[in-house]
Amino acid sequence: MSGVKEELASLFRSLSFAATISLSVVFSMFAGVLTGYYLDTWLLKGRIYPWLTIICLFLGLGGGVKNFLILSRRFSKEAEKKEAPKDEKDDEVQ
Amino acid sequence: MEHPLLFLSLLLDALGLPAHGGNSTLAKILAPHMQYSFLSMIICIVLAKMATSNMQMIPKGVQNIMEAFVGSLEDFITEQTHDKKKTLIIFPMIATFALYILISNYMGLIPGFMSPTSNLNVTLGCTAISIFTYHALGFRFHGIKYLKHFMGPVPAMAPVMFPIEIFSHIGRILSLSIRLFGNMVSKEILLGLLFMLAGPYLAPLPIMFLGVLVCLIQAFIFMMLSIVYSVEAMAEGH
Repeated sequence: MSGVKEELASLFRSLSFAATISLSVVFSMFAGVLTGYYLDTWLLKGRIYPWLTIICLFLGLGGGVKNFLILSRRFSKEAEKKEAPKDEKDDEVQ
Repeated sequence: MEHPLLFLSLLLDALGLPAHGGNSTLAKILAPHMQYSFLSMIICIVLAKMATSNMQMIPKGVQNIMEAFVGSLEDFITEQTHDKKKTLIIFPMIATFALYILISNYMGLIPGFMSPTSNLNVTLGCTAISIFTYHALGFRFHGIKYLKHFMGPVPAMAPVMFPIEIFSHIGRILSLSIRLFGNMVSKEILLGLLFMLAGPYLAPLPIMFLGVLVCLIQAFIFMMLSIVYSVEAMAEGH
């Protein structure tokens, strides 16, 4: 029974981590594109139209990668910690 | 579109108050998502009051549940911060978010109630609190040097790193608010559609089961991300 519970807990955790990381990357890119588009059309009236959008897309992508790195580092650290005590117990049994 | 049947709105209608939204200030305060937001605040306060009014050495009933909740949450935050002092600083905000969002999410599963979190304004408000708090904590722990975190490790890279950091923070705001809002509102719309189209009895049941899971996961994610961002802001230099 406890095995099933642990499985469920780990499934739950990885599900939430996956949803979290993917969305924070996507929305960061989205923010970049939107900012670039508004700078292009509203501030510069379309004089250099696609360029600011493209530059901001890549900057937003960089921001997304940064979010990804922070979150994945944090989550993998936590996953390791969850694994570690179990291993110690196994060693003691052996 | 037809109004969904909401008990609190009907109650306020009977009292002659504008309960379905509008342009006056009173109507804005008494819009449906605000009513149910107030209700979940009241539930939070009542739970806290019930848990602490009759404290005993051996906890019983509500005190027992709340002690388990608070204790496990504190352990969870301490795992992230590795520092009791930092834990105590962010604990009240995180615990409030967890309880409030959990209650708000689950309220939507009861017929006649709606989730306040299925309105973007509510989730954006929660996100604003979280974002503002972690920047304030960053300034408190690092002083003006917190701005250096935005400049990246190499000074020559600062003009590139600064926009990247700004976009990553905007992305955090968007993902934190829109994720919670989107999940909740999609659950409600799907439930409504199934009620209307597929028959009222057992058709919405699978979605309701999924809703139970999603409510818990979304509340957990919101809490988790608030912790991670606060810890990241408080951490010593990169």
